Amino acid sequence: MNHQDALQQMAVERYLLGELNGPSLESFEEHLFECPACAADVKAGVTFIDAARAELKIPQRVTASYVKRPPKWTSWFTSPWILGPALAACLFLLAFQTFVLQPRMKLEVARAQTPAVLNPLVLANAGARGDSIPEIVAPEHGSFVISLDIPAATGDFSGYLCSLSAADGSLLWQTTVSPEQARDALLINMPTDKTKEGLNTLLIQGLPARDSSSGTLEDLARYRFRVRIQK
Amino acid sequence: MNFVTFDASYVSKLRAGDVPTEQHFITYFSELILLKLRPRLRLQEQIEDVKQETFSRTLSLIRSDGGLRHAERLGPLVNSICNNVLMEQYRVSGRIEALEDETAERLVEPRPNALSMVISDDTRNLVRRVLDDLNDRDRSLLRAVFLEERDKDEVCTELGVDRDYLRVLLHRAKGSFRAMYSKRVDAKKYH
Repeated sequence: MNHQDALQQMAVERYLLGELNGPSLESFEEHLFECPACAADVKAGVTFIDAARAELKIPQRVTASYVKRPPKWTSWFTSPWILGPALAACLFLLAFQTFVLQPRMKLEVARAQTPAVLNPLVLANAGARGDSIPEIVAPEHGSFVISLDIPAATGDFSGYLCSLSAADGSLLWQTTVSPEQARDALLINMPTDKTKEGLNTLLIQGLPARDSSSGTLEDLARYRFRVRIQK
Repeated sequence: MNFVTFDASYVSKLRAGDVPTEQHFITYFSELILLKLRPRLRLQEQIEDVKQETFSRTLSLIRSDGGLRHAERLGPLVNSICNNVLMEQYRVSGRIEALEDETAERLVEPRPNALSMVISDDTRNLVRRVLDDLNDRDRSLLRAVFLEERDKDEVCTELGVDRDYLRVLLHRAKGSFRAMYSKRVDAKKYH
């Protein structure tokens, strides 16, 4: 047997598996003693088999991997210590959305979509000294409409500043009105939560024009009204 | 896995009693003789006796007047002398059994032997990696054949493979092991 024969016949593997006998065994062994390549192959094979036999004695070797590979950087995410609380938080969020947020939103949408007749609080003729103070009953989570006139101004204003203050003087809400909007009666949709129950004052001030020599706001009107919040 | 060339220079050094060459000769052929004898002799002492006698006769022949005419036949000469000594050992131990009728079936016998004693943790780690890369069926096949020593035909039938598959599996596993082993040896050389 020469080396080529040995390779073709897989003689090394047959020898290791004990499949050679008689003349074929004798022939291969003679070759084995003169061929360093086959000798090295057989030695490696025997070493592998002996070590594999020891390794295969370990029960989990048959089905499971033994080498502990380094954990991936994302492995913290799959840790039960993280996954458990995260799942609980997700469930809590889902329950909160389903049983609290969604019903509330549905109610608010329904309220918003419900047609309603608006009775504006007319301030157009109010504000004069000695006049009675009008009162509006406003829904707690809704809004009401104020109707007022911007007094005909003597000066040249670039716009008007409307400021709503509470009885204690604290500023509750502010908006600006252009001269074009101020020409007609002004309707302001006022969110109830921007007001305070009780006396409220709406101050109208003229914003000086850019080329005006005066840089200060000019008080034009002060309207007072009471708000009663309907709960 | 150092490959050696048994040429005239090597034989003449052996003839001259060159100690490093003689040590190499003993080491190299000791492993082969162990591989050859371990399925054939049960006792470690018998293996050792046959091995020592084989070396003694081979070196005597090489250093005799006639010597070894064809240096490249050194390996087959050792094998031939080993066969003769083994036959004598059989006769002495009362086990008259023709060498040509002997099978190598017990080559994979489970008892510890001189070769398996030298398997290092490093080698076991490499083999572990090779086994890890195999699928469950292939691991089960190797386990049944080498550890449980079950009938190979029966195991192959059970697992739906043939004997050629088993040979190829062993060939590949051995090849992977040798490749990793060589890589490890090279890495150690350069560090």
